[in-house]
Amino acid sequence: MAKIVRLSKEQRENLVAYLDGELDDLSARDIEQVLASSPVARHDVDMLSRTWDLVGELPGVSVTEEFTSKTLESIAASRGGAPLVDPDAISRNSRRALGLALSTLILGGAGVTGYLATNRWIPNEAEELLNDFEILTDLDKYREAGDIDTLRKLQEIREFNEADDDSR
Amino acid sequence: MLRAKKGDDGAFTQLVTNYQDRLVGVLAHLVQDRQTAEDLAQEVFLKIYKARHGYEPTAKFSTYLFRIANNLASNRRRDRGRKREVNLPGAESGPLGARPAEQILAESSSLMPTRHFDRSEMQAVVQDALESLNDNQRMAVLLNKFEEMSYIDIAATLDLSVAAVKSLLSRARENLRVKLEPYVTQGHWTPQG
Repeated sequence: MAKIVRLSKEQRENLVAYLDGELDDLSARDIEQVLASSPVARHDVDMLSRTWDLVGELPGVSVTEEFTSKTLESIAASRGGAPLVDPDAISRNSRRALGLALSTLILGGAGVTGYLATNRWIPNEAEELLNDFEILTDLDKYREAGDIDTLRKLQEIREFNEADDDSR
Repeated sequence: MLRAKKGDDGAFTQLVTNYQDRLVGVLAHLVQDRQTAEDLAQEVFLKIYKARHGYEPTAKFSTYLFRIANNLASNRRRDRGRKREVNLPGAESGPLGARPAEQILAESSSLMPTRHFDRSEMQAVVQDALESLNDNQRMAVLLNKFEEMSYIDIAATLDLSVAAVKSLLSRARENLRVKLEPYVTQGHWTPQG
């Protein structure tokens, strides 16, 4: 049967400090010897540890949404109602925001102008092809005819036109 | 805090948002009333703000914060105690109303079959055990458990010696053990992880 060892007051205090890792090496070794020889001390340490774990079951608390604003307002009120956040920081931020907005506006304007310019004033290859579509479809005939004077003469010959209509 | 001391109010705002949950969490368990805890926390931040120019970083900021919180909470409890002496003699209930843990304890007497507690019931039991500690013991337990403060930091927060904190926590943990051991040994509660 294991011998019941009574713990001194100091040793009892040290049990908790031992669990918390707050003992120096010498005292920790002393407690370990006590624990090795005393089932009562081992039971105590076990119960101290398990009941301590229970305390961790207490619910966590988060502040309500209004807490931060109310706190900052109370601080603002204490300094005469001025906003807590540095006014210089606000104006710096405002200037930064204004600069950013202007830059965005200028860049956006340049983009729109560029788009319109490329669409209206710079020749578009597809558009040119559409404009010349009629000429291109009869390009072989024009090449065969040789020059413009010959074509004009051919235009004047009615039979040529009719024959041309029949061939289409 | 050093930036706030130099006049950077944005830094102080950041300080409030960084510490508000921790502070209100500890105070809520200390005074057992959420609204009172928030009121106290506001007072703490206001006091720190007003004293910011004289702040000296001799300890961790959290130690400084909780030291002020503990002082304000002690004052509040003292004022409330005086009022209670006049107005509410012999009240059975705790500050949150009837204590559910008292009912739970009665139900779980030796005549009742052992039953498994749900989390909220066990929290009520633990809160009740915590309430049975004196103010210093309770604060030391909360700082040790939830702020993971070392004995040196707790000593600085409560304005005690490290040896006194060791003794304080030993007694507090022993009291908690006596209150909570039946729930552990009778299998009322198994942590859910």
